[in-house]
Amino acid sequence: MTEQLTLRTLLDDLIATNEAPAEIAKTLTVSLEQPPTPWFVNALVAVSAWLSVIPFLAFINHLVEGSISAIIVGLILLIGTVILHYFKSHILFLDQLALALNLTGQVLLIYGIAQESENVVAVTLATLFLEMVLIGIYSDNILRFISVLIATTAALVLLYDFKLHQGIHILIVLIAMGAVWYWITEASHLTDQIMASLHQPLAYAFIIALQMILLLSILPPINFIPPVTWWYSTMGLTVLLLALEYYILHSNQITIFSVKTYTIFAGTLLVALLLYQSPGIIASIIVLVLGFQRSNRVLMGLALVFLSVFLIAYYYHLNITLLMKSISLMSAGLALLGLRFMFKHIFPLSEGGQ
Amino acid sequence: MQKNPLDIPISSNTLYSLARANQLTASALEYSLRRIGIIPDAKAWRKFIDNLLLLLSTTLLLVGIIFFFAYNWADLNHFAKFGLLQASLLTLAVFASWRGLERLEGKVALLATAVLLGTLLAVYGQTYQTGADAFSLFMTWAILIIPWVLLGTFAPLWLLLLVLLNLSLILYYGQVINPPSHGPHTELFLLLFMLNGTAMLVWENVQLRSIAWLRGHWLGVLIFSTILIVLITPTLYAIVSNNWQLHPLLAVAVGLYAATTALALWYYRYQRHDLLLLAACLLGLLIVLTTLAAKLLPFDKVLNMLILALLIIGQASLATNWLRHVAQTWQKEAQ
Repeated sequence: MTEQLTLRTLLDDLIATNEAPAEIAKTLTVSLEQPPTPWFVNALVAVSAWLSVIPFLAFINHLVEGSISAIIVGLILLIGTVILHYFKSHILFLDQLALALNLTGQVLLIYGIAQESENVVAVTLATLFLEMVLIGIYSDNILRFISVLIATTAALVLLYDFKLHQGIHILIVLIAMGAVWYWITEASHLTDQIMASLHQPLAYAFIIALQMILLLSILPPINFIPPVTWWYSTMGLTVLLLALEYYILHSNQITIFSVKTYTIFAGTLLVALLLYQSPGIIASIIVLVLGFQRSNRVLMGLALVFLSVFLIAYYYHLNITLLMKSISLMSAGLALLGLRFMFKHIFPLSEGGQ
Repeated sequence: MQKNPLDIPISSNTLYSLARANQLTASALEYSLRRIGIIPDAKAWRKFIDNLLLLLSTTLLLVGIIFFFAYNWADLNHFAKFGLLQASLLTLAVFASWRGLERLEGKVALLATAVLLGTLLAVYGQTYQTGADAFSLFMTWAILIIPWVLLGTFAPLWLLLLVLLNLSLILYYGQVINPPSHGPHTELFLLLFMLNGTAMLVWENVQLRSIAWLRGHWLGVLIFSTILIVLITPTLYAIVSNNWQLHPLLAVAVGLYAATTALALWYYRYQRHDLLLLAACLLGLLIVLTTLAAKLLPFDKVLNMLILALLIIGQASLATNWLRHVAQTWQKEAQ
């Protein structure tokens, strides 16, 4: 798929198509900078930061007595780590120590507020405020990523406490919209001064937050989890998936009034109708499409893992016999094979699908 | 002599760093990403949807068929069951041969044939109540699919074979060797290490030969992760347990873990560059060393906790620094 193209050839192309000024080759300074940190190295840092929070908390627990002191120590840790991070030392150990202490500070502060106020709304609002401030001022990818996940959890708790159980659908659709917007306009974000540093952590965090919330849809009935009408989320996510498909079709010069567009839209609506109780599957398809659109293997891997989880849960929870499940699975398999056959005719490979 | 950066084959990372440095506009970046194939064109989308539908439909069909026979429908006599399964096997094998094993459809059909063979063996055992141990089912299944695995040139077929062999070994250990329920089960971990270690050696050998169909990375990562898990588990047991001297094989497992980690760190650093496997080795080391420190630290609990926290961060910093340095060195060497 990827051609062995050099930057020189590409610049000639950009000039020829008026995407870049003619003098670009002269002004361009190609710094062969350090390669970006791969996701698994970031994951190693994040996991070790969380692991070190446990002994840190155990240590601080012996020094702190009562909720007020937890709040004070939490605030000291947060302010201290923000200052340490602001005056970047470029010493990796200090950076990672600051990250672990910041997380410890967050836990202490939230715990202290919870103990002191005994009010869920106060705790969740304080958490949301804290995470937003940290996302704004603490320019660390891992902390920003974790902050989005903590803020999402706080928002869920808030909805639960206000008994706005169906509000979860608005949260799901908003997060999904955020994820789609972040990924499809990646180029604009990377060239924007403010968004460039926010793009990577937030874009990944929205994807994980979305799938994390949707895991609630496959949990068995639990007393303290209220019943939620999941097809509302399916509906919202389907509209978003259709919009994403329209964007991709449009960028590939396929008009909305064509058999190809109708087929893709009809296929999407059919899948959504059949799986209306399983918004996780639609969300995973959205992530898969985004992953392929950006050639992002991490996104595609995540999408496939969650797609498998949601599909297994869907069939597991179907209240029918094993025989009926097998018939349903085989029918779905045959229907997809039929769809593939139809696609081959509507989008022949020889025309490149154009 | 170092090449002019303008003449080095362009990658998405170069484009992203140019965009971050404001040397490319958003639309120029988008255009460039399309130009080098990072943003797929209609043809790539078409192929992606085609492959996705094929894999998803085959998976659903296969699971459906397995569920169908697992239900053990009383109204269906065993001749019909065997007939259905054998007809499906034959159809799939003929389809694979007709489409050709160089095409994805052919490979997927062969994989489906290999999976259905297991269902056929299970139905055979269910019908005739052979009384054989479950390990023999998996072992027979594994042996019978070997010719297809060799013919198929398809990584998932190799994975299926390896999973079946691992399952056979685990079940053999449980059902035939029948070990005491307590204890570290080091023999099992060592047997699993031997099996997966051999698979890894084959995998690495294949990588050196640059065989196109095995160029994908995920199978090697899976095998290597399994090796680390089967060696780290007895190592942690040896550290945590107070009576490790009673199990002499634990020392062998610990020695093998140390040797495997050292060898892997050298091999993936200098011989076949693989940052992910290096990171996996370092994560394993972090877990083992932290557990060892938690066991050996002589201070009171509170101080131990502080030291442990700092130790985790220290190890993670060293690991990250080293991995970044290695990646940078490789990048320079490639230029």
